Amino acid sequence: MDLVTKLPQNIWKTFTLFINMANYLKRLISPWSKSMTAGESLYSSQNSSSPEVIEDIGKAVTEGNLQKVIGIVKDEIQSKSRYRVKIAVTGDSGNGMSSFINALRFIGHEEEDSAPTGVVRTTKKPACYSSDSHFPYVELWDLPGLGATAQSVESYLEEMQISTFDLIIIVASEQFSSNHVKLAITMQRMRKRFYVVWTKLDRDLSTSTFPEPQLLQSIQRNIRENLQQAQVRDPPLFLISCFSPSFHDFPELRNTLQKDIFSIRYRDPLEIISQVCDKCISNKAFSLKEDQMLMKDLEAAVSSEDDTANLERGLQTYQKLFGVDDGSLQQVARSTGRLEMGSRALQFQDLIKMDRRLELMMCFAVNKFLRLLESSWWYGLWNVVTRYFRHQRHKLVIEIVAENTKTSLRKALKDSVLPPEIH
Amino acid sequence: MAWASSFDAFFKNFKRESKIISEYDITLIMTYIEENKLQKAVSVIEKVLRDIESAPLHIAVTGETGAGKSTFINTLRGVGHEEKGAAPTGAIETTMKRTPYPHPKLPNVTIWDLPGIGTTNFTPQNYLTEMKFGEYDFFIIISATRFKENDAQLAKAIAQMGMNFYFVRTKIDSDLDNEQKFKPKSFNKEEVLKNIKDYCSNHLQESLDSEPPVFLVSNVDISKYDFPKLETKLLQDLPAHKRHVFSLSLQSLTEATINYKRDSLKQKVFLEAMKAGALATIPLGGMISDILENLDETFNLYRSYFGLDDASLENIAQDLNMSVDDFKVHLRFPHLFAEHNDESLEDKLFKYIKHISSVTGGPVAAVTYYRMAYYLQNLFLDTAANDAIALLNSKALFEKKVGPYISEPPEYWEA
Repeated sequence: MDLVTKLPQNIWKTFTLFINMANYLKRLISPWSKSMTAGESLYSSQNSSSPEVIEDIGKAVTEGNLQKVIGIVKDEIQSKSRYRVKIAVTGDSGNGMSSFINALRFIGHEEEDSAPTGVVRTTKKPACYSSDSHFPYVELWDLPGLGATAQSVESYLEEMQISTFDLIIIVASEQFSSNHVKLAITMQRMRKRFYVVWTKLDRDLSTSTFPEPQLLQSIQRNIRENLQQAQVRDPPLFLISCFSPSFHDFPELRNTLQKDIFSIRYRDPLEIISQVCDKCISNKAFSLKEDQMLMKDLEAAVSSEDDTANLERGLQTYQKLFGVDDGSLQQVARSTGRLEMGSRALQFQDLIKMDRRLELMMCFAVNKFLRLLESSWWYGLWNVVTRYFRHQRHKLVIEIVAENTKTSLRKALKDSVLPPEIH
Repeated sequence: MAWASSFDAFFKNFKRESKIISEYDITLIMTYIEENKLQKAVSVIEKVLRDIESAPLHIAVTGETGAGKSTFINTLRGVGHEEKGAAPTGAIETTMKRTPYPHPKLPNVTIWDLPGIGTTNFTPQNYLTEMKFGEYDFFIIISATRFKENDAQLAKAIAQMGMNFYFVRTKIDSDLDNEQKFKPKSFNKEEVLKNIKDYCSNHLQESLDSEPPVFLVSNVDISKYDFPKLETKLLQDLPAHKRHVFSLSLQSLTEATINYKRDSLKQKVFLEAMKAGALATIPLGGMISDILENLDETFNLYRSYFGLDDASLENIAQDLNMSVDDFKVHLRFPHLFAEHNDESLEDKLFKYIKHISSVTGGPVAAVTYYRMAYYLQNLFLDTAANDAIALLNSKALFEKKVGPYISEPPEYWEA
């Protein structure tokens, strides 16, 4: 009779603990998948790499050869230094786009390389201008203005092949019209970088009865209100006069333009490559988690190791596979010439602290639970549950190593690949 | 009858755009006079005067904000930018509604500020419907930059509805300054002006079958370039009975404008004299000074129309760094009816009347109260108009003095 009463109580306690533990772990595991989705790039880019380069990079990442990855990307980004950034200048006809292009390049309107300007419609076909002294490897395209013909904005943008441009500058004066708003809406939808530039500020200042700060605020507010009503996020906005290419917002405009040219030329393609690397690393992690042979190898060692030792050995195996072990990272640091870069592989003790879920799985309570199962008459169940938890722990470690690889590679690429111009 | 021929002869003195009475009404009145139906003639004259006095005038000005539309509107109304009720300038508006700006001196005249069609998403036809096109006498389309397709479509829609529009290209002074500054080597003023006008005109012709005129206007000195021609064109196209109120509503910025006001007022004075004189033949009684006293209010109104009211004179004197009294010494109209030692005012007036009536036509025969009032008003109008014209040229204001005065005396007055 004592045996009978003792047995049900023991079974009940075990069952309750099992259910609670399973639910708790399930909740912890699920949030991870949400953070898996990589953020999309803010801007679409014309400056992309060839499929061959992408394939080579992907292969090197899959091989876990980070040094090779960095070498390929370095060559690729260096080849971008002569990428011709295409900038379109557009707006309503008569808004001063051609004058703006001349002022931006600090040249007058009667010089050989001037964009023709005038009091009647002057620009009827797209024309390309450059300024190697101020904007090397940049093409400034003077597009004919809107409104001078009956052409719709959609038809105009198609004819101008606006999708081939890296940056669009929308020029306005006199009136921020519905054409300007339509241009802005379309640029946002196409995920193009674009600015709004208000010109002829000298006219506004000379005829205004308001003090200058109030007038400038009024112009800015009006433009932003028009854009907000159309659900357009605030673009960079500059108020200038082409008579004063060094005053008002012109210096800030040139600064912003230089930074964006750098981004278009280097940062954007690097971001795309980094996303490719991220994807390859994720694919590799997925493959490893599905690798039954690897799991069997790890499982075979169980009888001779405790769980902690088993996990530590797994970590080392994964780090070698991804190329973020001590040896590999030191090689990368040496080849990039940046010894200050963190060259130490992720340590096992740090790994435990990094992830709550893994810490939980290694905690005393879980182990006691497993021991409890081991000592009970549910030996078969113990075997299944034990194997499940061991697999989950290893998958988590793979995830952590993959994320660590992404972070290390991004940093290595950024430090060793980007030219030092912007710093 | 002598009346009929003198009536017709009088109105022949005026150009078409200055006539404030239609040819039909002139003919009708003459017919009634010839047929000795004076009562009917008086009725027609009364109707004409009533129409002239009460004719509403609604002017629609459309175009982009920032195209100088507000400045143009304020100038049309004779209002400074900072005055109460002035159309705001400098600020950028997003209004989709029309805004009325009544004339400060002439309640019959309203200038409507319509939003530029580019700020809306209306088609030209819908735009006109939304803006209640039927309520305006004419449209002024303002542009400050390149000719826009919207402008062409709007002009076409207005023309299709049988209404008048006038294309005004503003900020010409700014364009000339820009061209000269940006292209000092190749700048040619006449060429720039011709390019702008031809460019706009050619585009309008492409959209319309006709060849509508284009007017170039400065926002700094509006009397330059084509503004006088625009005024003339507007007067030509308006129905006769609306010309009076429109000419009076204009600022006295050009000699032509002042002459339009003079001609318009003279016709009105004539019609009033005809109406009164046809019914009554009260012999002249009392002194000239009594008539002048009764006309004092009328003369003040005339001064206001010519920009010679006290407030305006104070502003002008201030600009010239003179006191009003010192300044007035050089104007003729304040001293017009002062007594002369050598000759009585009556005798001088009789000589004046004899000369002017023999040349321009007008009431003759017995001198009555109304006829005397008629000639006194004409004399004042000519004097005030001449003073106003002289004041236009402030630089040479005192170099052109005739004796102590800056202006010429009225015709025949010194004869």
